[in-house]
Amino acid sequence: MLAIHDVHKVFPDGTRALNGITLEVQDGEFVSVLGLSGAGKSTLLRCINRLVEPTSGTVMVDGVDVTRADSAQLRQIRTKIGMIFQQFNIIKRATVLTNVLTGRLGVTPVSWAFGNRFRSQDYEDAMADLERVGIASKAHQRAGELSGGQQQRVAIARALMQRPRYILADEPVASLDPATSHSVLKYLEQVNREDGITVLCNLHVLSLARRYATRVIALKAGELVFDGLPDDIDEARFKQIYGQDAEELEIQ
Amino acid sequence: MKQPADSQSPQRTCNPLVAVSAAVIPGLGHLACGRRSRALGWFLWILGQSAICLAAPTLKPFVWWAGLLWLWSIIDAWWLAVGRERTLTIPIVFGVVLNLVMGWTITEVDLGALARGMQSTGTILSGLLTPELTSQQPNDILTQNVRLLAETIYMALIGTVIPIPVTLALSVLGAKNLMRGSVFGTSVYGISRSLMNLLRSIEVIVIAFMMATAVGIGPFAGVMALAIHGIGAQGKLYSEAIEDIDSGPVEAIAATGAGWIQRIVYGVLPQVTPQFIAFTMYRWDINVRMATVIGLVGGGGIGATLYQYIGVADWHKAGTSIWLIATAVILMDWASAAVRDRFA
Repeated sequence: MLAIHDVHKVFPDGTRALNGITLEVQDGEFVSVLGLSGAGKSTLLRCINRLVEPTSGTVMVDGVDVTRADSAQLRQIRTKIGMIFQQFNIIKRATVLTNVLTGRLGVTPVSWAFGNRFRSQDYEDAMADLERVGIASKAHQRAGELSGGQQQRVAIARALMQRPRYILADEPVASLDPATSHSVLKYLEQVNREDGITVLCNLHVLSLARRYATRVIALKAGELVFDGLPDDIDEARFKQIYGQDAEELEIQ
Repeated sequence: MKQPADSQSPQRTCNPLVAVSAAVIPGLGHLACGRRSRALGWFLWILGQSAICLAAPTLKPFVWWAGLLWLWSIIDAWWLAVGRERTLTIPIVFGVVLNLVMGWTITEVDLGALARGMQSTGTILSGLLTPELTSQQPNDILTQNVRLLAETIYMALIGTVIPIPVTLALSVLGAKNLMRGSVFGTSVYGISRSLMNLLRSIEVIVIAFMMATAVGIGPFAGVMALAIHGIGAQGKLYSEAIEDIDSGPVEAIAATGAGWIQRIVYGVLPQVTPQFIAFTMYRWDINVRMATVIGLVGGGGIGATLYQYIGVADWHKAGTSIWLIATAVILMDWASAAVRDRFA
């Protein structure tokens, strides 16, 4: 279980990104985080695995306080939390297989890095994960040669390689076309249902949240303004989140 | 002329008598009027100009110029005091021209000497243009020079490659984006940066002199000189390449639970490897040229032999060395450009 309590984040330039967020996420949920750009969605996800240091508040992951963890404990916690990014953030010059194997770095001896060495079991698992996202045939290609949708699937395979209990997805489809968006989100939906991995996914398109999420929360100016079922967001709620002039956009 | 930043408030006026204190110490009047940068500028300019004119015997006739500057600074202070600020275009242009004349004098530019030297220049040129190409014993100049050239190229190669591990480590520690965030990291960053700048600022030829004393005259002294200077020069280039990387993949690697070294090996190095290869190839190219020069001061290789030929005015043999060096440098330049095109 993920328990976020009264988390604030003020950046050094004075930007108040999060203003007292309190939130609990049960195991197995697919939570979609909605909100405008700058509402604090990315900061919220990054406070969970401490890629961003919260200014105050606590984040409990399976009963362990992330905000108080020392660097070894933090690494241990991070191995349980996969992360997927808008810009994919894979190593373009490395092979697809190496990219997937980096999901195991948290449990691989540090000195092995100099020889690009991993356990032989890891190679088998990596191929299985690539198989799962449908790009096993690309394993030995350079990751940068793949299309955007394929690169995001490499990133999903890398996250799966961590054998995570959670996946944080920060606008995973914002750089992709509608058809590819659905294929990527379907993989997230699949790992959520079949493996019971809890998913927190930032989206800014309501129709995608309605289609994939079991629960929707919405942020506005660093505060939680909605928490409920996807179908509960009516016209009034929508305008509350996105402003009076917003029009709902459908992605088929 | 651009106004200094501290003049943005409405023009101040101050006591003109205070302004005249510029006559006691240059710049004092401007300081009294609250114009710190202008005061410092006048002070350093007048002090420097006076010192140069007094120190060099041939420049004595120019001493009056420093006095004239001082006079101008007093008038400038007066104008500031009464609120009629003038631009400094005229004294600056005059100053530049006069320093060119002084430079001409102090470096003893003598076009006559060029003309008078025509005859010996001709002897040297004709010697260089007819290099000694015999490879017959016992006077096997060509083979000997080729061997020395190879020694020089290998000197440059070893001097380029050996320091790479040190350069890599130092450049990672000197990259702002990897080190900032803690007091310890920022300190390590500062120390690494300073060390690289220090090593970079000492010219190869100076290090070669010192190394020749320490480890004896020969190619090894040259290799050490290239290596030491190269750590600074290459390290700075590497660091800047690291600072330009996309932080996204590094963040993603960190999110998997990877440690600091793993983030560098998997997140940083793949992004900079092509540039590192190109920089290193370019350094080898530079080092081949440097290696011939350090040969002159005891660094071994073809430079040392060239120095001997010049010493006994054997221009034919010097020509052999120079043509071989030129050929090697042109080929290296061409090869390094090809490699850089491929990777950068």
